[in-house]
Amino acid sequence: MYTINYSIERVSRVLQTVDSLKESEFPYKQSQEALEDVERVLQQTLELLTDTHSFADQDDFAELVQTVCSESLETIFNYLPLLGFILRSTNVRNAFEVHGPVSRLAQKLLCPDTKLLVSSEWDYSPLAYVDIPGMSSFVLLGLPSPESSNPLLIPLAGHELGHALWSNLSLTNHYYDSVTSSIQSDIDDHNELLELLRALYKIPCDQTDMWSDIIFSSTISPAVTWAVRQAEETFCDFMGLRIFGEAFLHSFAYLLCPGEEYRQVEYPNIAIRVKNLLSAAGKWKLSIPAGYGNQFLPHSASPPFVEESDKSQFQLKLADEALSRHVNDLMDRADQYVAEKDIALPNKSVVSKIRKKFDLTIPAEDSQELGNILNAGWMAYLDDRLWSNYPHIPSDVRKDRLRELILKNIEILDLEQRRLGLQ
Amino acid sequence: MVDTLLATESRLRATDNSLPFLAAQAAVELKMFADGKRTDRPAGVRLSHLIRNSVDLQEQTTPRSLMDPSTVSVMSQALVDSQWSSQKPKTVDELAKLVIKLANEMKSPCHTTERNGGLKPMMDFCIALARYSSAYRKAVLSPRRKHPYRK
Repeated sequence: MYTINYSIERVSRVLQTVDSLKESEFPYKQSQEALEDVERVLQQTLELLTDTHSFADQDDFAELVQTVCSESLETIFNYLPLLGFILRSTNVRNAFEVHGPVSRLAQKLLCPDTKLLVSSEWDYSPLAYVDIPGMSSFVLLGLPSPESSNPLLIPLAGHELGHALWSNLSLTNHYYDSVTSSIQSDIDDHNELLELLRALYKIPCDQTDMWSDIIFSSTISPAVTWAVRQAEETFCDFMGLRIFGEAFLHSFAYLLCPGEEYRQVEYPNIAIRVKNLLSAAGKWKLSIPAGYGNQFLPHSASPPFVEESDKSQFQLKLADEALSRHVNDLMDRADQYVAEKDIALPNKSVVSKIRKKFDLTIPAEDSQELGNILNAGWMAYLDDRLWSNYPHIPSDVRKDRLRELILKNIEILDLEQRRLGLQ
Repeated sequence: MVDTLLATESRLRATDNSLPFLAAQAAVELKMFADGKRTDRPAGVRLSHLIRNSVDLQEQTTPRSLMDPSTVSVMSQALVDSQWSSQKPKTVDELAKLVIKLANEMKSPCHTTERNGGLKPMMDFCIALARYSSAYRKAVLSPRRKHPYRK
């Protein structure tokens, strides 16, 4: 009975933590609502444990009791980091100015009742928590704490919102089917792959209708899972690029270049990611910064964490090949969704107008969209001569001043959007 | 295109983050149902719906699996482990037939009570599904991505 009693107490104590967090001061009501959603999930878990407690002394059901307790522990593992996220969303380190415009973008892209939480995270990678059971209307967007007040990295939110869109549109189902067929065809068409697969998994050579065999068809499951994850990441890169244009390329490079040797299996290797981005940029007639691709490693090493490296190399090769067959489809899909959702793309003349205001150290009015401000911001950031004729702005503070100016411009955009919303 | 994709029904997916908890909930509901302590089984009905949607019956004399390879693997292991059926599926088609039966019986468990010696085999299937799906997701993703909702 200890297991079930401990489990009940653990969840109860997390619920007490939620209660104490509710006493915090939140800058926007979404944080409070997110806490209430987490509380409901934990209450549901507690109810399941309480039901389970009623038969926990019956030996025949010991395995069921353990499974429920294990799942309740998993719930704590999954939701406690979200509580930390919600708490950090109150931190003054965050750029609260961006919340309104990014929320409106998310609502337009996803659905009108989408709720956005932005927080600074202690992980040097932007992240999103999406598709959270019990919190389906929420998108939790985390930026690395040293950069959480850096508006120049907001274009990366386009990638993260892409994950929420992927989930909303159930694209996983579509790509699981398509990727599975692609990998099966690849093996059917290349005898050397089939021989390698049979050798690696010690499958007899007399298989005829091999894909109908459960054991045989299961051998490619890691490749399928990884390829679908890679397809999602690629789609999200395309979403960020389509929504924010060149500014996405700059923010992507700022945070990721030159890439790391460690290869995460859920991502294409960095060279392929960059190649895909540049291919989309070309198709969408965006300006590609000179030497952009050279900022990145030409390849990434293979995953070191899988013990059976021959098998994982083989699976990764299948996944990479499957992804390459879907890149154009993902690109077109991102383009089509942005158009269907009527998301305005960065406008060169508006960007140029804002850029000229930045030269004068003042924010612009009527910026229309976040993407316009961020593209103008990146142009100014990359201009070595920016404010060189203003001696009262020493060169060592120029970038900080520029970031503040961009945030001020976003604040004005927020007010303009609110005013439009009221009309 | 958006509307078409939105209309796609949910299917059972071994990598679905909420599957292990749902399966555990369904198992507890069955136990409470067997003990006469509850009559509704929302998690069981939802799980039955997901399983049912993993097989295509339209215009087919034999059911066609819509399960991806990882779901095929997890489902077949859960079925064999739980001994819900004496038949051990060897092919995806055999699995699809069993899955249809399973979904129907999970939706209306009272019909299975006498034939299968109580609800225990169905409960055991739910437990096995919870365990295998939880283990699969953790095994196949890299260490940085262990949080299920993090992207």
